[in-house]
Amino acid sequence: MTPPLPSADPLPSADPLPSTGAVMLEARDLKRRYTVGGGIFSRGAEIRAVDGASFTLAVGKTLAVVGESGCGKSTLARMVALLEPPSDGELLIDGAPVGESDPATRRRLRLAVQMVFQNPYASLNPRQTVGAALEEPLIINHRGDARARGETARAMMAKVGLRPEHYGRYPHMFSGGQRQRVAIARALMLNPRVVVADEPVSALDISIQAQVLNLMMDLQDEFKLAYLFISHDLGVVRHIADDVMVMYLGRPVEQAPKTSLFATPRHPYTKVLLAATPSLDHRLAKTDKPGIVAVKGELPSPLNPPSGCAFHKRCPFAKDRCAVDRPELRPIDGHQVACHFAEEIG
Amino acid sequence: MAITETAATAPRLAPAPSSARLLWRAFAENRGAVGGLVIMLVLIVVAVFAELVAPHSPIEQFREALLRPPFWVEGGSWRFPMGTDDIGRDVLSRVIYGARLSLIIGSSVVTLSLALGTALGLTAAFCGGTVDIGLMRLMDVLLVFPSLLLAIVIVAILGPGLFNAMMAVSLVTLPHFTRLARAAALTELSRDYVTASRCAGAGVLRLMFITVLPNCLAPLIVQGTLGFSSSILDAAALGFLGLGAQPPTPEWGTMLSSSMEFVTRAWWMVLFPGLAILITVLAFNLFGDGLRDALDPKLKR
Amino acid sequence: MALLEIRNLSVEFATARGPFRAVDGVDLTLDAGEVLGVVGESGSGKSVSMLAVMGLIGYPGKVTADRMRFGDVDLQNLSTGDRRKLVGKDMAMVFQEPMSSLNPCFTVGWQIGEALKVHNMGDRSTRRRRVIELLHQVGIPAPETRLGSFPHQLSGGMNQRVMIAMALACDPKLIIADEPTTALDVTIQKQILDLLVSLQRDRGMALVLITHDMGVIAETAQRVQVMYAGQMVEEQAADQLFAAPRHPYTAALLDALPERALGKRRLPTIPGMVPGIDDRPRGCLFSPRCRFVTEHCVEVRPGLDRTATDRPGGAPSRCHYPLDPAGHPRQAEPQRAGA
Repeated sequence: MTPPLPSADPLPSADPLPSTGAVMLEARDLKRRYTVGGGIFSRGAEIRAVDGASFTLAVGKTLAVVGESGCGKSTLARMVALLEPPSDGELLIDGAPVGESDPATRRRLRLAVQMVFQNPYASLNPRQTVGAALEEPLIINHRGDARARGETARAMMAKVGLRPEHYGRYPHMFSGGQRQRVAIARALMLNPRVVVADEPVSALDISIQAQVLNLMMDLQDEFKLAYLFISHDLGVVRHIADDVMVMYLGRPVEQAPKTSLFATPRHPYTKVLLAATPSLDHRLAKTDKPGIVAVKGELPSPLNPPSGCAFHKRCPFAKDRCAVDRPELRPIDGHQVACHFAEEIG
Repeated sequence: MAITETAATAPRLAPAPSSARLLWRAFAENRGAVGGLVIMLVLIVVAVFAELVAPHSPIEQFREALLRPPFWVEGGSWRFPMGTDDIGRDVLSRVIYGARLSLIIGSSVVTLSLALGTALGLTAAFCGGTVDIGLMRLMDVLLVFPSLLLAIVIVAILGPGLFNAMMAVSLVTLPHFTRLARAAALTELSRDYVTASRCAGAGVLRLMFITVLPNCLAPLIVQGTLGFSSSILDAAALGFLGLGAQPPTPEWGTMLSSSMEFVTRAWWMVLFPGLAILITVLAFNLFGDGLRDALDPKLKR
Repeated sequence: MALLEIRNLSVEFATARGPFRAVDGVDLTLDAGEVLGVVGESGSGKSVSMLAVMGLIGYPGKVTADRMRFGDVDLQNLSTGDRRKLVGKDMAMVFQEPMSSLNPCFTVGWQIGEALKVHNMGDRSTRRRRVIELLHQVGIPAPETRLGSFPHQLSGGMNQRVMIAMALACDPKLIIADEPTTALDVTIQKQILDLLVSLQRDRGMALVLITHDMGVIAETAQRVQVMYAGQMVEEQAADQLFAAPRHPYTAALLDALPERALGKRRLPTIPGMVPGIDDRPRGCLFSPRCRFVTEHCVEVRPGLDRTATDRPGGAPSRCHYPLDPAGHPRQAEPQRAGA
């Protein structure tokens, strides 16, 4: 078992090498609202980007958040990474509530959660060498002297598969996959407990995607990281996730362990999503998808959400009640499902 | 297995020429820009070594050689290659010392405007909200006035003199840099690498000056070179109006102003300072244009 | 006679670091009503080759080919006027980013109408009727109300439907779709793909679908071309390609798909990177990364092997030792390079 890197500064209450499966982060009914379009004379419209998400992240495990545009997954990622405060609800990191903490604790908690971004071409400062980018988090937080920082940075570079001579190069000299490695290395410099990965492989070619996914899984095992993995690609999710949360228009509609979700999806939207994902199996198996036709209609706008269940206008199984009553998450067969008729649809 | 693995797993790095070399190559394609650069360098050398280059002192009066024409006209001599003015001062020496003055004016004005404008623009972009609105409206007020008029008003308040003229011109060019810096900063602020630095705990000051500023420099540098030439022009105009450098300071605009009455009798007193202004401004403009073109494709890429 | 016939297409760009072959010796044959999928990663030249077919490669790109025939028109020696009559009418293209491929300053109705106007398809009222009909065919509800909408007022999926309507406006014989669904959400992607396929079937058009997504190819294409570093490395019927790829790159690419690696913790990867302008191997372009590489592969660049094999219809592949159905190269003992 590899010990943490030299400049580790674990959370005061945390065991430096926590056991796999222990809860590291807990979200309770997180909500985030925005007001757009308001001026001096008019009150703007309210958007509920995230409207009540609850989940836990466990050490060494990955929770994947899946959904399409407007589902709120990016906003959720930013809230978990402490870049935006939730409008409502609570976030607890290692048992400590973030909202109520004093500034010093907040700072420590903030460092425990780091983020990896989608676009490898925009997530590195074009004017900073790789070495400078890796050392920056250490400089900001006064960790170690120049020599120690350099050593830590080079050690991390080796861990993510970069060569020592890359230290002084600028981002534009690297490919997308290599930049993503640098981004991952940078996220790990402060020994975080939680890594929020917002579509980290979506912009990469298939072969590079595989390399980066392997790297992320290796690092997760070694450093006991909890991942919040945002993605729209169900194939990737199926590979890397332990648990999956499907979101639609700001609310989770189904939460379940991965194998169970893919084997028996309960929510109509999950079924639709699985059927719509282009896959080799659809051809090789030469079977028609089980009774699901392509869902009609456009994704609803968060500015004008449908009444009742947000999915009812596009749902193949919608009934009258769906337009009126908004369903809450309830446990069915080990899943959390927000649908009135989940048992009947089966 | 070994050879395949090592050859294949060595992450290949593009052995590209450095960005400085690529920039030079793009810049050098533009002949005019290179010409501008050469003239600029000549000017700088002349200005720095004015004492060695100029044949005479700029304020020494040669009572016996009043209104001598340039050397190729009858009555002129090589002692005063560009002739003398009405009180016997060598025009060439004054033009050379004037170059030093113009470069000082240009660089001071641009440095002051650039520094202050960048700081204000970054502040506006980072703070947003009322601070942003307030600063931008203030800049709009400055832009409403024709630049020369505003400069005249400021100098009239502060009193004539080269230093006050430089202050006035700095203020007049300030809004351009502020708006440019703000626009560039706003673009960069939405990028992920700024968020990444925030995630690492960077404070606002660090974000502003260490993270974002280096990425906003390109348009600011270009505006700086163009601002150089316009500030020389503005200072010359103020000097011409008697509000800038006062005689006997050999500033080109002041020289023009005091030579106006002699334009028919001693045309060389007007021509050479005017030509100097023209060539300097043209050189800086060509250089600035070439720099912008060279930087732009790289940015687009 | 095939609808589209391309032989030995190459596109070269003059760059500051020397000439760069973005497309190198690509062949393409397409019959009317056929769906061809062109799959490859970034740098494979899949988009550039199709842009060259449409004549959309400008200076400093140089397009050369032995033959470029569309119907009975020779694409290489076309005058600009004749090309304008052909492109957009009989050959149409749908691009990747609908938001940036539509002109933001003009309404949707105007833009589709422009396509009709340029090819002289009737007077204004006829064109207006046709635009409404087209919008209806691509599945836009209440088309009359949408004529005056601007692209930014429509969603990504709607904009892509508008692009398809523009492509369909003059009843083309061939549609080239360059990553038409990559920028869209999954459920919308399904709708657009279904739309393209049904339109293609109903109208008997040929469709070339360019994408990097193997799943999309699996669901829509009849025949597949795999491209790597500007070359075509394999062409096969889709069913056979996924069951038994012939080129090691195709096999490695399929193995790297997460959905193929169910149950395995680590994904099989392809080490290394696509060769750029500076490091093109002398031999096979894939040799630095191939599992089965031999000395011969490193020295000699393989040509396209078009000979019919034990499979009916032949299966061209650019490899010295193409894989057999079990996934092994066709030689009993490939020599290891120097090991």
